[in-house]
Amino acid sequence: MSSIVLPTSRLMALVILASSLIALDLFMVASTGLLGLAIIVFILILRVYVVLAQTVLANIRVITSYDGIREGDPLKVAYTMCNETVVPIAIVELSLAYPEYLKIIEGSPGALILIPPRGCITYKTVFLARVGKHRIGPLRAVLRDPFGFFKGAELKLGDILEVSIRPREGEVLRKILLNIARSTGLSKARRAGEGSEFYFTRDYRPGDDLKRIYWKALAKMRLAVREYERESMIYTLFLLLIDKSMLYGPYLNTPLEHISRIIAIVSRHLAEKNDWINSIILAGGRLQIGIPGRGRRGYVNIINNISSIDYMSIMNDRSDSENLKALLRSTISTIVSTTPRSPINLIVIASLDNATSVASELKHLQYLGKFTIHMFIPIPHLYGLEKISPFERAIYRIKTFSDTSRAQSIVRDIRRTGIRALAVTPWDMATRIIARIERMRV
Amino acid sequence: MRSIYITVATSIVSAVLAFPLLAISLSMIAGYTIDLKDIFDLRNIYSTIRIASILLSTIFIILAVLTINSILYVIALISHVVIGNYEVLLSPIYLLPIIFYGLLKVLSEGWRRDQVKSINISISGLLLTIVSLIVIISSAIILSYYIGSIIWGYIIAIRSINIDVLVLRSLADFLTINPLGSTILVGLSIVGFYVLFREFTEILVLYINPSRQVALNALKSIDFDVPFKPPLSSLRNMIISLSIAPPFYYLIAQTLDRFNLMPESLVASILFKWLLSVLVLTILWIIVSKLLTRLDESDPSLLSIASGLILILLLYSLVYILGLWDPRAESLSLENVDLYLKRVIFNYYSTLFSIVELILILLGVAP
Amino acid sequence: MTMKRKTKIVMVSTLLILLLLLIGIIGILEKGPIIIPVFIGAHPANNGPLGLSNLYEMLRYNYTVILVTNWSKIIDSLEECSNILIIIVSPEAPYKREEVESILDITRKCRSTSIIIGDETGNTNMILEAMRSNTRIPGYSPEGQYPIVYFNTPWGWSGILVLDRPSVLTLLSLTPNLTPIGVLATTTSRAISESTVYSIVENLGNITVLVVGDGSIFLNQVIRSNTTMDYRGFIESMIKFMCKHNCTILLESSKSQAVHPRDAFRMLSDPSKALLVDPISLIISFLVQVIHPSTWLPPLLDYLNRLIFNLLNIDYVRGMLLLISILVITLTIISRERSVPDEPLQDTIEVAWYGHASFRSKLLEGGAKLDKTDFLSLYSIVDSLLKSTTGVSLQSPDIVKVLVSRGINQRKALDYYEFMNKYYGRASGKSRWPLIVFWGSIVRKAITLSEDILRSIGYSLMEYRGVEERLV
Repeated sequence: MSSIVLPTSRLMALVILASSLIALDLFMVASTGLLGLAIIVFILILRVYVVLAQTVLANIRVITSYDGIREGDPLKVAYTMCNETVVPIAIVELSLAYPEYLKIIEGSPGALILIPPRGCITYKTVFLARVGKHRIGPLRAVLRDPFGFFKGAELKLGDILEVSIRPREGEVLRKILLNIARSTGLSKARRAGEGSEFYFTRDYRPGDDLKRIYWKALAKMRLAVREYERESMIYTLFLLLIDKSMLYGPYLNTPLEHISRIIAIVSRHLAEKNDWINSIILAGGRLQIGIPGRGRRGYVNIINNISSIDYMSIMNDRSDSENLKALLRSTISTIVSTTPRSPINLIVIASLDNATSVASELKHLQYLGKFTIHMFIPIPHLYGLEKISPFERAIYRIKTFSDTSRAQSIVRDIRRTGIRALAVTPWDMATRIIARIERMRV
Repeated sequence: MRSIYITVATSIVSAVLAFPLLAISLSMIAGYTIDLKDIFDLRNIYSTIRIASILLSTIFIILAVLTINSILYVIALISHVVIGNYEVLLSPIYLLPIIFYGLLKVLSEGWRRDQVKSINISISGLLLTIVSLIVIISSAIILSYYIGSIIWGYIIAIRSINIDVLVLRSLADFLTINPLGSTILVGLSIVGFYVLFREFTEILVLYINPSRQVALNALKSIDFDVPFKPPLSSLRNMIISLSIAPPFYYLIAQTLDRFNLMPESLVASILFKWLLSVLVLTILWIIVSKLLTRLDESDPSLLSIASGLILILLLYSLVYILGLWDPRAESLSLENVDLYLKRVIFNYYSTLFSIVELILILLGVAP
Repeated sequence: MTMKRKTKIVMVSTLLILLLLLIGIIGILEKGPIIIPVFIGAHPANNGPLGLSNLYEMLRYNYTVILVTNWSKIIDSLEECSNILIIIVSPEAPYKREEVESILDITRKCRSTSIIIGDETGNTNMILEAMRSNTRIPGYSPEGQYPIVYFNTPWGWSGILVLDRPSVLTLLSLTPNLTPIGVLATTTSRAISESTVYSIVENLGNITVLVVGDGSIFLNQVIRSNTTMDYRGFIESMIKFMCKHNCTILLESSKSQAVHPRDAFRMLSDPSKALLVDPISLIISFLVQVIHPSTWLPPLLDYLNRLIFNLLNIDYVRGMLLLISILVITLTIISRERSVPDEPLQDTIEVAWYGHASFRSKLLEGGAKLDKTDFLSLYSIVDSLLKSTTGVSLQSPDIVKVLVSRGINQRKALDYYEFMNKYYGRASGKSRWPLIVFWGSIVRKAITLSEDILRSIGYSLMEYRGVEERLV
């Protein structure tokens, strides 16, 4: 028995009707036998149509596309299905496969459609983009005849889209950064000097190296030399240790999203100062080691690294703390072997659960001398405070007080190892992290 | 998320479609003056059945409307037919729900709340689809009427066949005039046609328009470790049972003889031997079938192990009872072994085949 | 994952086998019942006293035996034809020319042929004639009933046997090839009387003929009898002698009278003929007719037809029959299809992940329960905040003064201090007073009171930016 299309239980109703009409004839009540038989033949012909439509649907041309790459923007996903045959396909039920943590803000997750003969139909839906890498699609499709007597096996239409979304550097964060930068007086970090990056031109002064004369300026009858940016010797490395508690919280306001935004704005800031920057992300039991870079290149590398964080692998991660420690050790050896000899500011962002084991692995780095380690630990349960009424918020605080105290003691323990650890709340995270990093550059 | 408007609309339509049958049921209930004494009076069993059927029908209609379920509706319809209210099958207005409840259900379950915003189709495309669907369905209806009339003509021809042979006359009458007999005849004819048509068209469509995904789906729906039942495996098992039956038969017969349990008279002993040989064969057949069916499915279970063990134990214990085999002794018996075996096997088969021969002769299959 | 139905692929369906059986039954039906005649004479199938079934069993035990029902066909069915022994016992009709020819064919074709004739009727004379034997059987003579015959045989068996109603053999000429082996034995002497020969052996080239003028010695009643006379030994030794080297025995069974079972049944009631009928044959013959489909199927179907037509006249039964008919047609069609329940596609259900997710959702539904541990938590929150900002613990009475300095009403501060410490004592187990406490409402009240106090030192439990800044 093949299963290209299967009858639904509704078909039984029609078969009972046909059988009744035939039986009435056999019992010589009425001459309805022909009608009953015609119904059965109709069922068979309908079945032929469904089989045909099912094969057409399975071979249909699907064009998949998406639009939107930045967090908070609409992420438009479109599947255009083009039927090149003369067979109309009806009725198709669609349902888009997408990760449960994404939110549709316009359109629906599925639809009931007809596909015209020699024509196209487009199914599109809009998500609110959030940072990271997401797999959207394919479209699941089930074909039924218009009366629902037969049902085709489920088909998968189109490709799986891999969408990478970058963090958004919001205005609020920019202001915080500017305030802090101004107060620490470090906005003039760029200085001319020996380097490779072109900075500006100035008038020739006696004693300047002839190699540095800007020949193009000579055309304007001006003798000028090129001034190069001073090579920065500061290396800032972001180490993100992400577990599922970093994904807890309201849409677009989870610890991970907060942190990625902060790292984005900070690394842009550092890139502008031509610092060496890099990121290492440990998520879902997997290491994403970035490429160290300076200036804009370094910044782009970090953004790319952040936007390839895979939520599902984090949620499904089953690795234990031993596993984490082993990964950390290999991370540390990577850090030690690949970084320049210059001093390194290691910004570690770890979840509360991982913090202790991370600290115990990292503390040895301090003895190497060149590492300055700052650890930021978001408190995950505080992300649940949003979208609750004030009194319930108080109850939530009281009920989760043990978690707060636990965070307190974990941070205290880590500080004893010499690592500058800080537990950060959702509302003061940005200020604290940016302030620390700015102060560090002094 | 399903659309509330569609849900409400489909519910209203389903109620409208089912209204005629509901109305007829309610009017029939209203026509009754219900007297409890009458209902429980056995002499009025027919009217009790009647009212019970109508009540059942009413309940099923309401359930059908609420769940938009055509099966429930058909049950309601058939309970009218059972009490002789055939007109519900003869007028199309009672039959509409069977056809359109499917459409309503597909709409109410498949239509998503914001799907209009998600779908982009040109009006002309939509119209073209609907028109071509209507064309397809109406030509299917016309075609099915013509094909149906050809098959029905064939069925009528079968039913009006005239048979001269006297002994076959009653069989022919049973299959053609008797409604129950003709049900079997017509049912088998329709199924034959149904299966042939379905397989033929399916192969044809797949040949014309091959699809990798459809083929994969069809393949995946079959279990990979599905056991095959080899054709005529019962016959094979019978042959195996036949080959191992003689020693068992002989040992059992000897055992009975030793304990003087064999009947004295000649005829009785022949009949007894027949019975015994058939019995031995049947039991062995069952055991062997159990053993081998499991092996065929490569799924040895406790049952097959048990049946194997039973065979071995039975053989051993019989041999032991007879004292034919003393575990400490070296030789089997004093008689020449090959002659002895020949005699045992020959005895059994001659007994068994005399029965088979007799049965065949008795049925007139063999002279 | 749904459980896949464990199916078995059946190559030849049971339905098909049943259909074939049905066709077979129709074939048998059309052929009609066979009538097994009841043999009343000397026939191997007759188990009665006058039958030959015991002889047949005896022979079959040691030799290959073929029952001859048609002499003209037997020559074709003989595979190897080295040694043949033909046994003819009391044929009830004379032989036809073709039959005799067939027997002669066998003798010509096969290397050696022996014939044993036990006949008192003279019906075998045709055969003896055709073989140029010098012996004839004139037929039964009434005067010679129960003669005592002395047998002295070439194979070494000798003894006295009493015959039933034999025919004395006529010897046309005495040749050396002809040896009388059974003669009338007078009680007084053992002189051989030439005129009363009852049995001979005659050698006719490659044919050996043994004639006994009486077929009765082969009958069941004789073989079964327990007399001192060894009929059985005589017959066994005779056959051993006549059957040279592994012979095939052709046992005549075409010349005995058979009657219709009906007639046989009638004979049973007649004492004079009752002995002739074998009851077992009769029963089998009846059974055959009874179990044959043509006997019972047409009447059964006729009965069913009548029954159903009668039932159709009853209104409600007709409804039921109609229902059965509907179900049968429906099920035959539906059984060819594997139907599935039609479930709509399940769309992705969007979720927001939260820590303490179940508690949080319960809280949002307003179903959170508060107890004394919550009071202790609250106390500890307020206490640590007060300590860290003002340096005074909530347990200390000085706290009232501190709070007043922060702008809290004196009365309110005191009340708060007392309230919190009273229930703190109760919750931590230091005090047993008050006896009954509804912690839910107490904690709620404590939250409201604490919020005011905390706001005075710049913190909040209810704001989004809350107490944690100081706590961590």
